[in-house]
Order: sequence, then structure tokens, then C-alpha cells
Amino acid sequence: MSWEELVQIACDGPAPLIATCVFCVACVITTFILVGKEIKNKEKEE
Amino acid sequence: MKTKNSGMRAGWMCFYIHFVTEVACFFLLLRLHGPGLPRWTSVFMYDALAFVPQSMVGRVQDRNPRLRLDLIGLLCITAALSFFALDPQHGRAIGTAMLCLGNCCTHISCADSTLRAGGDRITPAAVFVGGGSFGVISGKLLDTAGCPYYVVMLIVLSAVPLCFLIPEEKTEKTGEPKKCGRYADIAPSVTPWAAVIASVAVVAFRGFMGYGIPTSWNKTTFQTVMLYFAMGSGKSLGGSLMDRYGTRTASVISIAVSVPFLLFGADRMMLSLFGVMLFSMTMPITLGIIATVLPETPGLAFGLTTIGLFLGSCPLLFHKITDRRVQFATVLAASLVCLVIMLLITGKKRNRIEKEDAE
Repeated sequence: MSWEELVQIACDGPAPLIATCVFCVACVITTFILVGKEIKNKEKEE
Repeated sequence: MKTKNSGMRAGWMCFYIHFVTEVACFFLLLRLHGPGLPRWTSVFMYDALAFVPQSMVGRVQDRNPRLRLDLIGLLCITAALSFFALDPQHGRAIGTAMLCLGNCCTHISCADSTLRAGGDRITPAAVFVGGGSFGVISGKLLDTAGCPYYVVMLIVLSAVPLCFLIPEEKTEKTGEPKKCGRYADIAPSVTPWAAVIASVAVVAFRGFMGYGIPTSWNKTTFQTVMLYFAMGSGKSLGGSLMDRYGTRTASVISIAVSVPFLLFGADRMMLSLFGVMLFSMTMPITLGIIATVLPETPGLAFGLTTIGLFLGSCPLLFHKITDRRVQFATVLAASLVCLVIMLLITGKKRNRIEKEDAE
């Protein structure tokens, strides 16, 4: 597969959209896990 | 008093950094669109990649407070502009990624600086947040006017010296950056989780409602400029209002009082602008609540507000509200939900700032 074809797959069609959605869901889940940890730490300190 | 001055200095410097960031982002926004994709996907992908990962970038900033993410962000944005300028065909994917990363870095770094430098005041962070609206409209106007890329690059690079001038508030004993203050008055019975979830929900409802505000008066460029001016100044003023009158009063003023102006101003510019200004004041209020709950991680706190904003604005990318009755119902229902949530989670005003001034 040439570089040009690779770039085309990465930029066009549904691939970037699907990748973005998966990335977003992962970010949101991780954020809330981090918030949970932070709140737990704060409660321990208090 | 020293904290107040350095806080406001940080606020205005971050206002400019935020302004140039949005200028570049909205100058490039319509150029992100590629072949084979519907138009909405480019806006959706930009929103998703520029808003959602801010909490992750925020975590990196919280762990490494000395990391100059604002400088890294400005350089990423300049690189993104270069990619688009040199090879729009092949540079689009990498340019978009750099632009979103740069956007995340500058936002998080500015939020961190202004929240830490503000003492117990949210006003510096509110001033920083307000800069975005001015940048959005300026970027759109530069794009419409066909401004060359190098001019936008110069505008972005003009903010670089500020990255070294932003005052850093450090603790006297360890020299570590200061914790965030207690900006908001949260009701004692409200758990930290409830405060965080409720604030994110308010941001999301507010984001959803923002696109449903009837503005049939908005037909010329000048009127659009005025609309964004009202949004920016509202965000900045929201912080002062919260510091002066407390979280609960500021929430009621911004949500309840704005509703009649938004509804009856559908065809009257001045009424609508006043409503938009009041309505925009909720942004720093919700940021203040989340940062009060998470005082050691201001980056993560700011990232939560941007997630809320993305979740709220997402449905409107797929369906735009055009029917006047639906717009009215959306504004009323969303305002009511936001008002109830804010009344439930906020408490009485404490005399935290007067005490700080006396010291």
C-alpha cells in the first residue's frame, strides 16, 4: 500500500469518525475514573 | 491584595492567549472538511478532539505544574497553520490533530494559571474564559475576508511572550504551585460527586440551550460580532458577580433573569444581547464549583466543563432547532432544569474574599 493510499484511508470515509468516537468515549470514562480517585484522596486527607 | 493583582494579570494574559487560540481554530474550522465526509463531521471531529481530551491534558498539567503547556499549545497551533498552508491535501489530518492538541494545551495551561493565581476569586479564570468568544468571531471574520495564513500565524506567535510573563503563585514553604481556592459556596449536604455531576449537567444543558436561543434578529456581520461580544463579556462578568454576590445569587441572576430577555428578544437585538450576556455568566460559575471540589487538579476540573459543553452541543450537530415554539420550549425547560440544579447544590455566601482583602 502506498503512502498516498494510507493517507486517503486515514482522512476520508468513516474511519476518522469512528476513531474519534472511540477516543471520546475512552476519554470520558477515564476522566470520571480520575475524578473518583481524586475525590477519594480528598476524603482520606480530610 | 497581591493575589488579587497577580490573579487579574494572569487573567488578562490568558484572555489574550485564549483569544489567539480561537482565532486560529475558527480560521481553520471550515478548512478541516475533507472529501467523502458530510459537512457536519468536520465540526463534530474538531469539537470532539479539541474539547473532550482536555481533561487528560489537564491531568498531565496537574501532575507537572511547571510544564509550559501554553507555549507547547501555541507552537502546535502554528505548526497546524503551516501544515494547512503548505499542503492542504495531505496536511489536513496531521494539521487537524495538531490544532486540536494545541487548543487543549493552551486552554488547560491558562485555566491552571488563572485558577491557581486567583486565590479565592474566580474572576481571573472568568476573564480568561471570556477571551474565547472574541477569538471565535475574529477567526471567522479573518476566514471570510480571505486573510493569508502567515498573518494568522503572526497573531498566534504574538502571544508567545505572555507564556513567560504569566505570574505563578507558589507556596512559601515548598515553592510548589498553590492549590486552587474555594471559589464557590457549595451546600454542606452536597457530596463532591453530586456537585461534579450536577455542574457537568448544567454545562451540558447550557451548551444545548445555547444553540436553541432564538436570534432571528441576527442577519448582519455587525450583529454577529455584537452577539459574540455579549457572550465574551458575559463570561468575564460572571466571575465578578460570583465573587461579589456569592454562587447562589450569581446563578439565579444568570439563569432566571436571562430567560425573559432571551425569549422576548427573539426579534429585538438589545434585549437578546442582554439575555445572552446574563446566560453566558453560568460558565465561570460551574467551573468555580468543580474547581472547589477538585482543588488540587484544576486541569482536570476545567476538562470536565469542556466535556459537558461537548455533550450538550453534540445533539445539535445532527438536528438544528429552527421551529420558534421548540426554541422557546428548549430555553424554558433547560433554564428551569439548570436553575433547580444550581439552587440544590449551592449554599449561602461565605465572607471568604472580604477576609482575604483584610489580610
